[in-house]
Parts: sequence; structure tokens; C-alpha cells
Amino acid sequence: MFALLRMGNASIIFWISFVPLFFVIALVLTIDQEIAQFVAGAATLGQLLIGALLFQVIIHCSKSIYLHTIPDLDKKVKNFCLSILTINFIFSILLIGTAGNFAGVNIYIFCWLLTSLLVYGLIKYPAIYPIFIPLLIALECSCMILGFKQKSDFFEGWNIYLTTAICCLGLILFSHSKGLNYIEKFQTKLLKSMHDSLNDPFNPLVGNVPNMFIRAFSPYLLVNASAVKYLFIGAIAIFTMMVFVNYKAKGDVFAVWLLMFTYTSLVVEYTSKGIAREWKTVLLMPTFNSRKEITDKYIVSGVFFTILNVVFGLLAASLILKGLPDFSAAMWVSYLICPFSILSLAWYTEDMEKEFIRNFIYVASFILYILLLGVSAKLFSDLVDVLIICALVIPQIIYCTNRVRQHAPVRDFA
Amino acid sequence: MKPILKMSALTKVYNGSKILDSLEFELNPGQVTGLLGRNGSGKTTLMKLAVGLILADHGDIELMGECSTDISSDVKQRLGFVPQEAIGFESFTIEQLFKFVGKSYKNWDDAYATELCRLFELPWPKKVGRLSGGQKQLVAIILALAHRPDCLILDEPVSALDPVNRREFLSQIIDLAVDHRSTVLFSTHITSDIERIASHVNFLSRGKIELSGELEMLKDLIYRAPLDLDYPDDVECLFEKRGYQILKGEKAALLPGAQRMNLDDLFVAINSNGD
Repeated sequence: MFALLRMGNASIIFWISFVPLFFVIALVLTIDQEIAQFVAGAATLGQLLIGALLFQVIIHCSKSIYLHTIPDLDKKVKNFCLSILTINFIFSILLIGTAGNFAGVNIYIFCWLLTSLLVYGLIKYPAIYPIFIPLLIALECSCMILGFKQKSDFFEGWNIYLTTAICCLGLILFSHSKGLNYIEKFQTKLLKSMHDSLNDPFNPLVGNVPNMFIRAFSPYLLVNASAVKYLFIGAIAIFTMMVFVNYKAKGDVFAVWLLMFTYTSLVVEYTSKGIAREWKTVLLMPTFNSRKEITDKYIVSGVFFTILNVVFGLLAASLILKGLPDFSAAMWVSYLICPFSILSLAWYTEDMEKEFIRNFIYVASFILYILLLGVSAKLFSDLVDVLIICALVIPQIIYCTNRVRQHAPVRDFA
Repeated sequence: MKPILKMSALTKVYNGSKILDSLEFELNPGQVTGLLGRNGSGKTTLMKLAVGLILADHGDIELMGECSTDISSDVKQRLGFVPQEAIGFESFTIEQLFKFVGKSYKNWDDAYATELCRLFELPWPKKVGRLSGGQKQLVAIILALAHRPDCLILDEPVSALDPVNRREFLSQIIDLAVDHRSTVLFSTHITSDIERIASHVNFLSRGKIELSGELEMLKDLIYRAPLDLDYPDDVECLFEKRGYQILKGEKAALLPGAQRMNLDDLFVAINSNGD
């Protein structure tokens, strides 16, 4: 089993080892009936985490050519994934049943079916997985929209059409290679014209503040061809979050802040990776005169994104505290944590170098989120509010600044 | 004799451009075949199609008697494949990886894998993710060799190897082909490697196999001659290039001005864009 997990990625073992903790927390908390709903949130989190873990295993395995050339490896992976999924499903149902909250059962069943379909689909027909995944995601989005339509005013009138259209457009562009090519071509043209104008000595913008700002950011966009992709992911995520959020409690504003919070984290993450990988090529560009120049710009941009990130984090935290509805604390917890944790999971599994400590900080902070958010809804007020803000913001600051520092080309001057 | 690998009318299109265009290819048992082609000529695509990692747009591929997209466990037992890209399994140590993969093969030879590891001086307890590019390639090679497959398909296996390891690897391939009668298909840019171990050679250009045959025969029969040189009927003109023509036939050697060609020259001639 561990060999198969290892085949997906080592960090999966790390993450999966924490999943039982969520269940333990959930079970302990069921003792207090007043916060019984919180259990459902924890169960959702555990369920989605396992789903995300398995998704990572599946994706990594399906990308591994050895799945298709080593005898019976495909069957082993399939059986393993299905066993875990089944156990997970039973656990979720038990926990939800214990907590007395069946509101999200359809979502759990859907997640289970979705992941099972993915397992079968990817293993049976590995060559068609580029089509398979967008289809399933589109299906998931449609179901979510339809499911939440009954609960939210937001999906009355034009909003439902707009949301569906944006989700579909984003998904098509993101998942289809032709769509991606189109985005990248557009991006290259845009950036080229931007650079041309910046290098034009007669350009009135040269030397002024906005121009310096653009120059500071352009290397990121240039070295990271994926940047525009994440804009689309951002768009999808905004609307997905809107679908998730209950609009009776300023959910739209909350969703946007929360999205921006995670989105800026992604920008920091991917631009720093892009720079780390290709900054030597960037140095050869005529726009930059020295290593020092690009390093300075890198740091300025990194710091800017980090500050932006913290601001959004604070806004998100304050909105959570002010707008947390009494009747569905558990759902709020799961809405907040799940997308964030899955995104974080994706970050960590991509770059494992010296990640253990940061992973530990993150997992610890996730547990803290759950405890603080769940408990604060019923037991405490001011002190815990402050702690929640700290729990939200501090790991982000540590993470982002560490990321910038780790990947900054400045280390090459030593 | 049934071919180990047979590709008929094979076409693969990427982003509107035909990488392989109605390609015909056969790999017969016991052959050690080198596949030569320029960057982007479709060598990797051909190899991936051969083991069913990607789907063809048109055409049929048979690997050891089975459709390549749906090969059985039995065929996988007899197949070794070395990909061009990273092998994955980054969190395994070499030892764990061999143990894990070895369990899947009936003929996995632990002693042989260990011996190869020692020969290539691979750090046994080190994680795959921490190995250098060349070392990762060696691990992939050992994974493909250690069960002594009947058919070995290698996609540019020596591109990241130093000369010592490259030589050692080539000698292992020769041993496998001679002792075990394995069939080997490998792609490379290094023509000297092909000359060292291949029995057959295929030149891939413009989506087709432009020239193929026994290596020694090709070297003996193919000559470069001036454009205006007349040749007898039993000598065939393969193609004309700017300023010269490529002739094939036993009598070509006797023609005035005809020059013998080495693999390098032939490779350049085939790929010189037809002008």
C-alpha cells in the first residue's frame, strides 16, 4: 500500500497520516451535541482530503508510463484506490449519521462516484484522460450549481447562466490543449507588445511609476507561461466558491476575498517556481541589465504579492468572524478549509524539497482552523477571533516569504 | 516468422502537423534495430505508440501479436521499455524501487539488477528524486533489463550517459541480444552507437521510414555519386539531392566517382530537406 502511495508522491503519505486525526477530532467533538454539526464539517474535510489524495495518486500514476508497461500494476492501483474510497465512504456516512447532518450527503456520494469514475476511466482508458477529466469536472460543476440552486437566491435569473458559461469556458480553455495554446499565444503577444513598448525610449510611460510596476511584474509573466491559466482557474474558483457559499450571510463578498487570498498565494507559488526554473534565461533578455536588477524586481514583486495575500487573508478572516451564521458553522468550516487545503495539497506535492517543516506548520494550522472556527462559533468570542486571524495569516506569511526567499535568484550571488 | 512489432499505415497528428504519415515498420525477432532521426522527427512518438502510451490517429500496431493499446499482462512480462522522460517513482530509494517493480515480473533477476547497479555505480540507498539525470536514466535502463525481456524498446537511452556508462550499457544490450535472443529497438542521435551494436537501421524522416535495412548491407550497397553519372538498370537511385544522388546496388561501387557513405553522411543526406 505504501509503495503505491509512494508511487503517487511521498507527501501523500504525510498528508494521509493526518486524515485519521480529523476523524478523531470529529469523534471527540460529537460528545458535545451543541457542536455536533461541526463533525459534519470535519467529515467533509476528511472526505475531500482523501479524495484529493487519491486524485493525486491517480493523476501521478496515470502520468507514469510504468502503469501501462509493468504487468498488473494498473490493477493494483485500481484496487487500492477503490478500497480506500469505499472505506472513506463508509466513514463519511457514519460520521454524518452520527452528527445528524445529512445536508451534504448528496455531495459526498457524488464525490465518491466521481473519484471512482476517474479511477476506472483513467486506468482503463489512459489515453483519453485529457477528455475524461474536463467532462467529469463539468459534470461536477453542473451538479453543484443545480444542487445549490434550490438553496440560494444567487442562482435566480441571469446569474446561473453566467456562472455556468464562465465555468464551462474556463474548463474548456484550461483542460483542452488547443484552448491552452490559444491562451498562451495571446499571452505571448500581449507580453511582447508590453515589452516592446517598455523598451521604446520615446514611450512617455518609461520611467514613471506605473511603468516601473509593470516592469517589475513582467518577468514573472514572461517566465511563467502558465500565469494566464491561473487567471482562468481563478475565475472558475470565484464562481465555484459562490456556489458553495450561502448567500444569506454576505457570502459573495466573503467568497471573493477568500478566492483572492488563495489566488494570490498561487501567484506567489507559481511565479517563484517559474523564476527559479528559468531566471537564467530571463537574464539574457535585453530588458534587464544585470542580475541585481532582476533580483530586485523579483523581491519587490514577491513582497507585493505577500502583502496582498495577507490583506486578503485578513479581510477573509474578518468577514468570517462577522458573518458566520449560527445554524451552519460546520458548513462554513468545510467551505473555508476544503478548497484551501486541496490547493495547498497541490502546492506541496509539486515541490518536495525541504517541505517537511512547512507541511507540518500547515497541517498544524489546518487543525487549528478547525478547532478555532468550530469552537469559537459556540464557546468563545474576542480572544479566539484574534487567534483565528493569526492562524489564517501567520502560516501564509511564513509560507509566502519563505517561498520567495527560497527561490529568489539572489542566492546565486553568494 | 511473425514480427515482434508491426506498424501499418500509421499516422499521428499533433496540432495539425503530421508527425508520422502512413508509416510502415516491422521489427523482427532477434533484430537489434537502431532508429535514427532528427529532433522532432517522431522517434519518441513512434516508441510511445509501439507500447500503447498514446493512440494513433490512423493505422494498426501489433506488439508481440497483440494490439498495442491493450496489451496483456503476459506481453508486459516480456516487454522492457525505457522512456526518454523522467521515470517518476521519485520517493523510492533505488532498493525499494527494484523491490516494488521486481514483484510484478516473474523473471525479475534481483542479482542481475544489483550487479548492474554496482556496474553503473548507482547509490543504492539514495532516493530516485535525488539522483542526477544520467543516474535516473540508468535506473530506468536497469528496470527494463532486469527481467531479461524478449522485446526491449529504448527511447534515446544514452542521451544523458557518460562515455563509460554508455559503453557499459551498450555491452549489456549486446549480451541480452546474444544470450537471450532479445529483440531491441532503440533510438539515438549517436550513429557510432548504432554502428557498434545494431544489426539493422531505420532512418525516420518527414513522418516516414525513408530508408531501412541491415546495417552492413546498407553500408556496402549505398553510394553517393555525381548527379550526371549514368548508372546501370540494376542500380537504383534512392533520391537526388542538390549536386549528388544516392545510389543503391552491388554495382554502384564500381561506378566512376561513386563514394562509400558512412552512417553520418547518410543521415545528413536523408535529412537535407530534399534540395
